[in-house]
Amino acid sequence: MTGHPALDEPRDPPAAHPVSHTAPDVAQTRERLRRIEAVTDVALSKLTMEELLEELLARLRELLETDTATVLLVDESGQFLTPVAAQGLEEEVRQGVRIPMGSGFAGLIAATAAPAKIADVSMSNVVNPILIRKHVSSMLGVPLLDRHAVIGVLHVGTLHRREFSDDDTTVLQLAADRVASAISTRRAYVDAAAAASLQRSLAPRQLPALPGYQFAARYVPSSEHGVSGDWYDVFALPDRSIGVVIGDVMGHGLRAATIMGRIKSALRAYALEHDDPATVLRHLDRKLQHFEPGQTSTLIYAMLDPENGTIRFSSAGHLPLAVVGAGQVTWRVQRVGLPLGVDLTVPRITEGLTLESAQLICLFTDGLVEQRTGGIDAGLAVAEDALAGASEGANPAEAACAALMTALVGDRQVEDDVTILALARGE
Amino acid sequence: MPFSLHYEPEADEEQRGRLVASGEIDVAVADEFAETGVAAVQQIRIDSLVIDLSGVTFMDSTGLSALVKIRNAAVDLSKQISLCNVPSQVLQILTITGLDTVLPIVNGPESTTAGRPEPA
Repeated sequence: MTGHPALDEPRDPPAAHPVSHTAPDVAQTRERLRRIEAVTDVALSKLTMEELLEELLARLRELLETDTATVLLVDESGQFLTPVAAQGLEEEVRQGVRIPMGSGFAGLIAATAAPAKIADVSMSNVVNPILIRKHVSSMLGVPLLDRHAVIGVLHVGTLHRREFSDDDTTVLQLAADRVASAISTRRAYVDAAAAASLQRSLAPRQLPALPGYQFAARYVPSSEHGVSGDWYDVFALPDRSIGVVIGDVMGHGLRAATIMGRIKSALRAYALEHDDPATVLRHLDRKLQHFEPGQTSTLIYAMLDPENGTIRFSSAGHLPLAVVGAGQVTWRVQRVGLPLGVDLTVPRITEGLTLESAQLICLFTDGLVEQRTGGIDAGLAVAEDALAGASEGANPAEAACAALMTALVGDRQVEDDVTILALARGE
Repeated sequence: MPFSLHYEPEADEEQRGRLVASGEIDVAVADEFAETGVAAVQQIRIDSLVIDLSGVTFMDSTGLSALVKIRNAAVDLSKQISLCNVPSQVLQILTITGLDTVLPIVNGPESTTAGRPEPA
């Protein structure tokens, strides 16, 4: 190996160089970039992420006349870059190389979020021995940016010595922007599909058949963000009381769905151990703050005694529940506790009510009543009118859900998840 | 109205920093809001942070979550945080979620009644 490490080479290529390289003609470059773009659009739905990147890299290698092209992505920990696709350096991917952020060529590009080039690769300026073994001589790399966050690095290399030009950097950065956008779209798609699947698996398969009571529910995921963290649960406890939960995890997508699953199973576990809803929420809050710091969630946990219709419940920052009977609507939750994830030192309380014959309770999430204009109070007023006017026929729980959906959703696309859970006591 | 965020980095003589948010605070901007607020309370010369919400036209649960993050960062550092000029739409959701009990609300921009919530 010859030469010196030079991550910050002068921007201007030397006038004379043994291996001269002319910048690609601008029109030609644009045409080729269009081909890269076409791949990201058309093939996105058909190829796996790996196949898509291989295809993009093959085109990029041809476009820039390089011997290697590699995409590395920042891993889950944010501490390492892992090659996910490579042309000319396939071993990198197969051997599961991990480059620490801030070290070596790719690590520095990721850490600084800026392009870099090396004319003479040596052990002093790269950390990956495969580059040396493969006799890569010169490299050019740029960050992959999703909005302003570095999600990875795209680099190309040549086996002969080459001074990459500013034009090369521009072309590579344009290609990188397309790669980053393809990866982000793909990830969003995969996350949304996984989140929707997880959400479906979390919803009760069927609401329990409870003599003398009727359950009804609605769940409509956000049209913009897919799953947005709403969930509900109904379960029987050993003492034959029924646990009823509605919750809204702040956030959306796969992460929200994952947290939702953890909260749901933890709540069921604490519900088996404690028969006071506020105590259950206190334990749940502690668990959430310890294992998912920074995550907040609202929910109501209610326990129904089917024998006499008594309901004990505790609210963690959730919307009030409505008690409906004979055309009258009463909002309950006198003392709302804080959402989960805020402050363990503030006590929680359990409230009680009795569900009389021919009454129902209705719980829902903010997606139903929150609007960009008018505020939540206006939405609650519409909900109140809808519930008061809901038919009491054969299935009042279904009728309440239907009336709310008609009045507040209608035919609009919901911006946030909308969830309703109604429980009616028979005559 | 698009979201905008303005931090006045110069603390006044009482070491109060001021963060002015306006527009719609939703999932698209909540992270930026939280990061800017947390960075502000972490500034060494800031003893308290006033978040001015006068121009906020909409805030959803992710915006609330951002406020909680800023508030908890302040509590961890034994600093004070308060909200001022809170529009009614935002006040409604702060009240419904009970967060008004841990996020002191002051009205005038010059008020000095900002304080830490008392653990009950």
